[in-house]
Amino acid sequence: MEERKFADLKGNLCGEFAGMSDFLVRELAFGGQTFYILYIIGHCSKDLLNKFVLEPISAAYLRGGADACLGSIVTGGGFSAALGYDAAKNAVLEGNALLLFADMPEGIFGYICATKNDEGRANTEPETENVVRGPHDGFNESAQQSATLLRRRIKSEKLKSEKITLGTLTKTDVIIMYISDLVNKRALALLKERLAAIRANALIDSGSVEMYIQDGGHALYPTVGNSERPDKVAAKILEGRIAVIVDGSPVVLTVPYLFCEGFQVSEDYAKDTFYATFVRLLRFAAVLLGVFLPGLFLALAAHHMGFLPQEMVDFLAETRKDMTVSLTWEIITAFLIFEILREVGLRMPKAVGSAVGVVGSLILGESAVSAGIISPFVLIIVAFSAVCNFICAPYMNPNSILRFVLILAGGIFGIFGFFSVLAAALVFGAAKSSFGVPYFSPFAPLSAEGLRDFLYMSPIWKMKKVPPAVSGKNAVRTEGRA
Amino acid sequence: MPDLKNKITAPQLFCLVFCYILAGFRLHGGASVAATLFVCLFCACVCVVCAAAHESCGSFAALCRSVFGTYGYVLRAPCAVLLALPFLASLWELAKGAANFYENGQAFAVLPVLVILCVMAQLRGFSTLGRFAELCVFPLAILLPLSLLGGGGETPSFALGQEDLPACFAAVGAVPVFFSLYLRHAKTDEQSDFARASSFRPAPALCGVLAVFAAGLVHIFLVFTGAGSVLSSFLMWFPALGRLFAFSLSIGDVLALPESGRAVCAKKIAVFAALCAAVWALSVLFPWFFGAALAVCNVVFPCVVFAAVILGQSYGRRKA
Repeated sequence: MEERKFADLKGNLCGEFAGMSDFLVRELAFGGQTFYILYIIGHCSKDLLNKFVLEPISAAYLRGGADACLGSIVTGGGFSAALGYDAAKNAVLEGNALLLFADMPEGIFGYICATKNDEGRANTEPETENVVRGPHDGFNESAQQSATLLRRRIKSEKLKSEKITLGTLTKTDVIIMYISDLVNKRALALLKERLAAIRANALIDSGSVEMYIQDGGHALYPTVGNSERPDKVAAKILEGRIAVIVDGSPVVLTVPYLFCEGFQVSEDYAKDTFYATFVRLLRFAAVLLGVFLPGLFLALAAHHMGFLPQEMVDFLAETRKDMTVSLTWEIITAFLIFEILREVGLRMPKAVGSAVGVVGSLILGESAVSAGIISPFVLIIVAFSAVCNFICAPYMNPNSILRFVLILAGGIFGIFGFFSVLAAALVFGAAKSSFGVPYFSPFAPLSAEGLRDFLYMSPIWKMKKVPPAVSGKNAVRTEGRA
Repeated sequence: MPDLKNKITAPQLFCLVFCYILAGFRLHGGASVAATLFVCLFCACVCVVCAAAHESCGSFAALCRSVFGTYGYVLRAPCAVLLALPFLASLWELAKGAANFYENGQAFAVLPVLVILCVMAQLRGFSTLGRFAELCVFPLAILLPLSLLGGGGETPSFALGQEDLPACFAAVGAVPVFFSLYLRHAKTDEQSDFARASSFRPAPALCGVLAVFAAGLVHIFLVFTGAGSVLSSFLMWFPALGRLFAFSLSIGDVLALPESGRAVCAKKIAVFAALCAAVWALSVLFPWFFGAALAVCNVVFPCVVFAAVILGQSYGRRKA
């Protein structure tokens, strides 16, 4: 490279990084050659730079072997030529060190030394997905480390990974991983299409990516799954799903995501079939009660009192004799108070959050009953329904919304109003799909193979095929027991 | 990748026919065991004969075209009129049933909601209607054990009288005839990758026949055990809505909605709505007309339509 061109390149790079106090240009002279090393302090690992770049080059000059190819001198894992100006610039922004010198060959804009500082949080167990039995590691914020955790579990050349960069300012690395033989080709094509269509300057978290790629612009129920557990994501990949790892987020996305997945917990697969089925049925019943009970009760109590047992009617009348508000408003108020307390409990620091929980549940509840704002009967229904809603974490938020709509419909229009909203929700759900896979499968459309792992959970050795709804293939998962 | 919006699978066909017939029996009040079984037998025969007889056509419009060429709409127009009748009858019965739960409840207040639900489902394609029917099995799974606990029920009747048969025929109507098209076409190889790979692949024709008898037997069971509580009625509304969706599917098929563009679809739906309004007005002005027309529609029409089609096809073959 000509001396003038080299000076221009160095000048342009320094000009672009002007005003960055953490940007450093280090000038080193070995023999008659001057090297420049450009990197961002902290983002680039000083140790790696010294150990794998500077020390080997220095040693080579000292022992007189500097004529050897630079690639064989620098012993670090990643050493490559930047074939364009933008590649050189982005390499520095990604935390690599850029090595420049005057005698670089034509068309090379520097040498990228992979010295990115990958130090991050340890792979500790995620707090949101605890298990008693099972692995206790979790993803962290490094996409590369997360991908490695998956590769450690699936040691196959069929586990493919593709990396793309999204966000014009954040330049966030997004890695998609799948098993080439099992993946649903249509879902993969849709995912790539949607990722490529993202036009945003910033993607900080996997949640933002989820919003861009999910089916339908305003989906109430999630069509993209997420987890912080490598074992869970690996299991999903082995069923033909695709993992989307976003750098900077410990939450890995999985697609396609079906409604039934909300009821599946990784620990279920380590339990006997009887208990696992019992727990699944319990979860399903709890979700149904959590969503439908308040609305159904309100519809019957407010509009169709004659259909309730007389004892219940008498008890309800007794507990509500001093009440000043209608039953509809009473239930709505109780749920609003509960939702406020839940939100406060989540946002407050941990130590204060538990205190808020105690104040909210005990003192506020007790006072509300004494003051005649909420009757004990309603409080029991609201509390039970609220507790039931926690059993299925992925649907906690959408179920809260649906529950409110059902309460309003049941309170205003009675049982038929309740039915209409429910039927409309089912129609929407039936029409919904996640990356081309029907959302309600395996029960609508029906799939016998898929039903082995829904409410009834057959022994793992009996789940012989990969769920066809997800992979679209008739792939064998196990040959069964001997 | 083919558009799967308007394809239904064999299990979906089973659920649609099942919901349609069961809800029909419940709405139109056929309580005789013998009449129920007789009508089920009739319906199963119609399904099997029609499915076996007609040539391979993907929709009613295609079937009419194959026989009458460009004048296929001549047959489709009266079919639309005759489908409007039982559709309105079922709509009215369901609305009346729902309104009964309210003091001074008016069926007219309930009707628009049901129509909106039907239109909403129709716009989302036949697959959505089929999947909804599959979901209707869940409320029924709750209803059956619930009805055992409820107590009550009626003394079984085995009469095959003048009142029992029409009520049961009203439950069946003409829709199974249209479904018989799908009995041939709800094949897994035309479905999605998922359906192709699924291990559950019942024969479509068998699905139709099984659905008819299953619906009959469940109806008889519910008559014996009694299912009159508010919760039971609530759960029965789902298959009842499934019945309306089955009508929607058949109407969509007759009007060839999947083949039409959005604008043409809107026009066809508007014309059909006008037709329904006219039928409604006629039934209010001349109540006897409605009853007589329904009788024709439920029994004579299914046989006549396919007789015409089958004869037309055999004539066409002989000519060729």
